[in-house]
Amino acid sequence: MFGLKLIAKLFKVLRSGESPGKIAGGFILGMLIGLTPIWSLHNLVVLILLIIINVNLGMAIFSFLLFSGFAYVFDPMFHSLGFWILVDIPALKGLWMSMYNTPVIALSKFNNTVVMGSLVVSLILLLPAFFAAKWFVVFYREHIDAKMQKLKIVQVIKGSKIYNLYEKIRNIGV
Amino acid sequence: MRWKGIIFLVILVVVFFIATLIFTDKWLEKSIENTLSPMVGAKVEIDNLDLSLTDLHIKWDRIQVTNPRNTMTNLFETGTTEFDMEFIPLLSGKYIIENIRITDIRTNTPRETDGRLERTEDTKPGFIGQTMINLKEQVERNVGTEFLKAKQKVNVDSILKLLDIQSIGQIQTLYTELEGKYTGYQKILTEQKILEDAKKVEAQIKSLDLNKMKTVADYQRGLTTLNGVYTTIDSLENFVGKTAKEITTDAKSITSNVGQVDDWIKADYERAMAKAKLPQLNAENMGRLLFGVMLINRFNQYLGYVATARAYSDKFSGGTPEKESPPRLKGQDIRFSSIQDRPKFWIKQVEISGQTEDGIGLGGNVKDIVSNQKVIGKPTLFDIHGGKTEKINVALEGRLDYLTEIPAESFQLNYAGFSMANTLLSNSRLLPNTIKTGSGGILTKVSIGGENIDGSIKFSAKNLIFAQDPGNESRTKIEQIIQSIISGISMVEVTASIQGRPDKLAIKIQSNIDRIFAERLQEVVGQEIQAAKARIKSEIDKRIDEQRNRLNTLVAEKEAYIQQQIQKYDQALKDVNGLADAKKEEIEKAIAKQTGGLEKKVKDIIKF
Repeated sequence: MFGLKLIAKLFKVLRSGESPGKIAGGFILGMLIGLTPIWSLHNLVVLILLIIINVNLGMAIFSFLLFSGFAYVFDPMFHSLGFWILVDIPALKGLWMSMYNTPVIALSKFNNTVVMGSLVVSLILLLPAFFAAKWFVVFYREHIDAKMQKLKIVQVIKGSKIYNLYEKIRNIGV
Repeated sequence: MRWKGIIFLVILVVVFFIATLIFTDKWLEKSIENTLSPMVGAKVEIDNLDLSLTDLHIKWDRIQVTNPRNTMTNLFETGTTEFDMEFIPLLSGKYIIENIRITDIRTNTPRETDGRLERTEDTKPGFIGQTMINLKEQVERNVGTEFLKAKQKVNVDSILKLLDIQSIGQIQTLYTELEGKYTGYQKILTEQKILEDAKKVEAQIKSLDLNKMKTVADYQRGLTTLNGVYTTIDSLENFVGKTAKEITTDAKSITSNVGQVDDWIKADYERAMAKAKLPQLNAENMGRLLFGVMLINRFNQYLGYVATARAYSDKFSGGTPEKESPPRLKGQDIRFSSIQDRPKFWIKQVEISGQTEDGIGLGGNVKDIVSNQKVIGKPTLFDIHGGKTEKINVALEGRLDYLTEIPAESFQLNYAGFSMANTLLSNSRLLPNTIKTGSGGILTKVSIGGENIDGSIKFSAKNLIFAQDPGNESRTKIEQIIQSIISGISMVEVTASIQGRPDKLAIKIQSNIDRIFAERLQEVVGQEIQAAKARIKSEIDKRIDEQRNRLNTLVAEKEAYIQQQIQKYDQALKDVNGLADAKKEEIEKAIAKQTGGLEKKVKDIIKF
């Protein structure tokens, strides 16, 4: 039921009148939280941004769940990358040392290999993911949406008792 | 800007703040318990921790530290403990505590619940872990007391049933391996058909009939044929020589493999003796037999604490860390330490006061428990002392020094005058009686520098009166002797020393009752033990002999066969070589004769 709701929500977001920029913004912030360990200080900042900036929360939740799965799969690579950045680059040692002893920043767990590795990957992906998501929303609306609506599976889902029940429950909640 | 979001955020912060006020105490309590428990190797429990967020004041009613060796007892528990943490370092995730006052410490208190951890790691990493294993192995070797159970004779039959003779399997494997090798050699030697080739060459030589050779040109052709024959013989000789060389080289490795058999049998014999637990009943070994396990367990306990201290010192030292394989999503924390900054964790002083289970008052302090000593430039020192009367006193002094590259620990525990009533002198089966009255003293000195260990334990007990063993008719003669020795003991002095590195440890354990135990036991069971040892050895030999003989026969037969074959080939080639030489000589003579006749004719013609 949750999966169905999520997929329905995703398509609804893509089809809604929300600007592609806001959807893409939600996507990348969700990606940041999803890829990096959740209990990190930077995620608190991202969460605050999510709450106060007008980005699409539905897409953020979807993106968070999607990238949490990726984070689990790619964890060993994040660990190796983080270890390399924190230990094997002598030029950065001074920076890490001063960060480690700087109030508040020291609490950010930046010295954890997985936090560092995943954060670096997230930051590298941030802009490409933003533009890719924005482009995809536009592309979906112009080229895919009409075809999607005609797909039997979509119609079956829409016509199914479960979906109708879901719609009814959702409407009660509104 | 999402105003509703901002309102939600404000509500969230308020909720978080309230939740913090409610749950921080429990969370902190659990965090401290979860951090300390693995360090101790058993549960550490805190009662009613209270954290005041306004002045960062922490207080708890009690902390119980379970004894990892007896998890229904606490190593110690404390009364109320209070301390303040510095605020600014907390923002950098650093815990700096000026002074902790722990009052009402009590040792060896009973626990209401089992303090065992669900998953404990018994082994300590690094050289100390290896040392602990080596010590245990060394001291347990040759200190078996199984013979005490025997009524009259050592039950060799039951020991023989348990024998796991590994050399039989090893010899069988070697047999198969060698058989394969010899088959290979035989194949090489027979496939080449040296004898057949030699016969062909022989036939070729014999086919050179001088009667059929009329002219010099005929002889020259004969010589050319002989040259071909020599080439063939050379190549056959080369092959036989090369093969013989290869086999000889290989045979050396076979010999060394066969030489291992004796080592395998020796190992089997040692395993059997270990299983039989038949000790050497001499004065040198008796100290180990009587007190070894007890003392080494005690020593290993101290080493375990040192290992924990070293492991945490390494962890926080800030050197280049080794890459670990943490569980998924956990990662590895890399610590960056600089001597310009404050350490990650530092308790400047712990003041202790309390008493032992015997009511001996304790007081003292531990200074500078710190994550990285190099940052503060001071070692960790502890000094705890106490006493009850003039006769009973206890003092523990120590130093954990990780300021230089070579870690060093030293400590001294002196506990004198304690009552030994209702205790055992040792956990050895040779000393089964509980002590009725008596007092004891123990002086332990341990000094570790890098991987060098120098430790000694002196234990003395005096005014001893042992509780009488009730005895019964089924008591063995050995047990009777033990009881008779024990009844005459009023004073015991034991010294143990352990020195060296993990791979080369010298352990010496001596006591004043070694000789008497050795002599009396030797009288009764010495001969029996020797006979049992001899019987076990002969049984092992008997079981192994068949396989060993089979292997030796194989090696002897095959070696002889191969040597014989090579000799046969050599001889055959030598024969044809001789035949070829003879034929060559004949042809050369014939040529000389013919060319000589021609010369005479020419000279005669010239004369005329």
